[in-house]
Amino acid sequence: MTIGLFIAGMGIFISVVLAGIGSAVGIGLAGQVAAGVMSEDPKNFGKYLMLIALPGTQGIYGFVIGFLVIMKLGILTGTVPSLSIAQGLNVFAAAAPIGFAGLVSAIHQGKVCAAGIEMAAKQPSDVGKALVMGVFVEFYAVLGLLISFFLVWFGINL
Amino acid sequence: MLSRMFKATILGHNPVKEKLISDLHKAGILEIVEIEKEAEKEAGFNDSDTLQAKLQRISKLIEDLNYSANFLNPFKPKKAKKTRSYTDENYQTITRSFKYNILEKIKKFNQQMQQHENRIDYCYNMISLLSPWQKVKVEFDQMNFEHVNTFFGIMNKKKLSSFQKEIERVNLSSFNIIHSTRDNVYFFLMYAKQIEETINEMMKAFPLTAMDFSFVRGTIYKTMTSFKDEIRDLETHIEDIKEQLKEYAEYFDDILICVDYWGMVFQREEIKRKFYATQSTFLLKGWIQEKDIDRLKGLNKKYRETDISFSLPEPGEVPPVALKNNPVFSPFEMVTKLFGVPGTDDVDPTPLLAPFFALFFGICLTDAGYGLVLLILSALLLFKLRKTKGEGTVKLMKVLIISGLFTIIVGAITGGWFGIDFDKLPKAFRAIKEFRDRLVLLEPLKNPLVLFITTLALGAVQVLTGIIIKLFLYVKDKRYYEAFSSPFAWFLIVSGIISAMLLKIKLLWVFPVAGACIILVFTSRQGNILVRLLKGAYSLYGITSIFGDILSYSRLFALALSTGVIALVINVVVGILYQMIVKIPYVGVPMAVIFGIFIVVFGHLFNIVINSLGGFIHTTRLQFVEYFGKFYEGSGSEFRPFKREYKYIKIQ
Repeated sequence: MTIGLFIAGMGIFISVVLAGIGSAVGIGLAGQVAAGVMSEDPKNFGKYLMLIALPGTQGIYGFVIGFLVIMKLGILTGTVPSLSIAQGLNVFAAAAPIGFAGLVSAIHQGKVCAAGIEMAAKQPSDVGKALVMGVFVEFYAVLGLLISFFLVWFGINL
Repeated sequence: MLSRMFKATILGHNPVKEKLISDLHKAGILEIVEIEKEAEKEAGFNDSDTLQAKLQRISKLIEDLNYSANFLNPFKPKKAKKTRSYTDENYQTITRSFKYNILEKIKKFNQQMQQHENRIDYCYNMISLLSPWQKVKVEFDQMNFEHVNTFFGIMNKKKLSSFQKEIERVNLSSFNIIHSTRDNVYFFLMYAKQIEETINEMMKAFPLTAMDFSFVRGTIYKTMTSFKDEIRDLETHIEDIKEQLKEYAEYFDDILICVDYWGMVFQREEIKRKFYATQSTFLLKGWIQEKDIDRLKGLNKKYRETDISFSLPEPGEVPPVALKNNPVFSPFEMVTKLFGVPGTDDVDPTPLLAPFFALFFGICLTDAGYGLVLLILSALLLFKLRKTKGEGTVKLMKVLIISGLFTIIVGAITGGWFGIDFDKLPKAFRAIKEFRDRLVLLEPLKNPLVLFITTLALGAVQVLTGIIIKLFLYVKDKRYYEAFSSPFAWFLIVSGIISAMLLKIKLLWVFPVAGACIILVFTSRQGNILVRLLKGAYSLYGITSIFGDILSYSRLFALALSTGVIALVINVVVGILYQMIVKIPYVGVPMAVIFGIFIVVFGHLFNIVINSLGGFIHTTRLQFVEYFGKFYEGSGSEFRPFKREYKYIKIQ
């Protein structure tokens, strides 16, 4: 295995693992609050579920980029590509935006969603507003995904 | 569209009061408003004290019913009915024949159980307290010595050695360790009464927990056994009670029906507070939709003792808002209501957002197969839930059906069918591939930039639509100056820049420049020219937020992409696993097929659910922030008619 391929692999690692950690933490935050709220009032589980699931998308975005990189490198066809160090760094830089944007945005989205669950517990009809607030944070993960996608799709030439 | 609201005033004689309230309650078409009463009249004629007492009695009863229902819930028969659907007559017979004295009995059972459980907790605590001391074999009742004191205590292990040293220095005492754990030692100390003070003085210096065994009869072991026996007794007792409760659990459904019945009675009584009453007449006012007026008139015809009149809202009065749309648009009222209903004189944004909503949702999924699944699933759910669930759920299902249709269209255009890679299909499927290819306009993964730009273009269309709506609203209100200086100018700027850039005609830049000039000069009507220009320049800065809004629609592209890629991933993973499993001898092929089907079905279902959720929320946000921000406030109060609301039952 070349060092270039290793660096490229680190890029996949960054996008999948960092975004995944962010989502796990975010869902964890929201899930804990939901469990607490439901111990008082077991109703409205469906409403809370949406707020819990919301920070989960960053992990998916990271995974999407990771998969696209794998596809682009041709690993799925069974061949192990040999990359120069420069090419590896290129892949790394392409995959990084969603990793970092996903990590931070998912955690903060989890906080917003946790607060939203508390709000929905007191005002069940306002759950839509809580969701919209959560989506505000998500947009920055979307931007990270877009940049990563364009870099992976158009910026990697092997 | 907003429904036109009328104010209804009903004046009647007291004998028909109850009947009329009941009829209004059943019809659910009138939002009754409180009539303000002068204080002395209220004191003279309104029997508000007796009403208050009555309401309190009813709510106490509801509380008791809920309490019993909660308590019985774990004991109810497994095959409890999910939907309790009754005719009006039917369920009132149940409430009439219900034996209310069982509530008292259930309460008693609950109290007994509570007591037993508390006692069991106490016994367990005692057992765990005693168990380290089991080795002490003395009979505690007989431990009363003339010259010797005994002391049982717990101490941290770290202090043990220094404590022992101190003890050794004192004569006439003996120190025994009975039990030790990782951190603590349980010890027994005996000392002559004459040195009591020295020992007490010495022990003060150490953090000890003294044990009080005054409750122990006989040996520790005996006491523990008797606690254990007691627990066993209490547990059988609790089992007995549970057995008996199973009989009462038959009434579980009836109790819930009673909760709903008395809840309804409560609403019916409470509404009387809003009436104006004299000794023999009553007066009530309320809002009603234009379409329901005839129904109310018909209702009223039954009574000779009432008089009804309708009027338009007077100036200064703010009627509640009810939305009225055709069957295609009306499900989207749900989205509008999430944000807030329009004010009385505002425009209803429902038909304006519906097409955008469905289209954007479709773009988030971009898979015809997914759209089909979504359509079928929500149609099934709608069919199943339409009778038992409220209006909101039904509307949500209809929104999903319509959005599913759009998803099929968008998916067909982009060639997404369950993420299948048609280039790799065997030749036998060529006909399917050709059919699919004929529908395709653009493929996101082959040409992502086109879809990206398409989403931004759609964003520009929606933002411009919002600006145009605002323009119309100003013109409708005859506020021509505002119309000219704000939405009109913005329309020139945004559409001008986009068309100039797309068509690459330099002359078109005239429009945005003209728009900018209008905003610079006309934004502020007051102050000297310099202040006006500065204010204009400040609002011109808003251009950044408009282009930020348009860029925000790029999320549609990102969501489309992530749905598509995950669909692809599922298929690829299944393909690889299939190849691997097939190689297992004998069972390979059937196992691979079963495994493959399993992953395909659950993988795609997961993808549909998670991305429908994301698509729904993101689409909603685009409507609320980017679109409504241009023209809509949602400041109205929703029309809430006085109607029967049941929690547990459904009236046929």
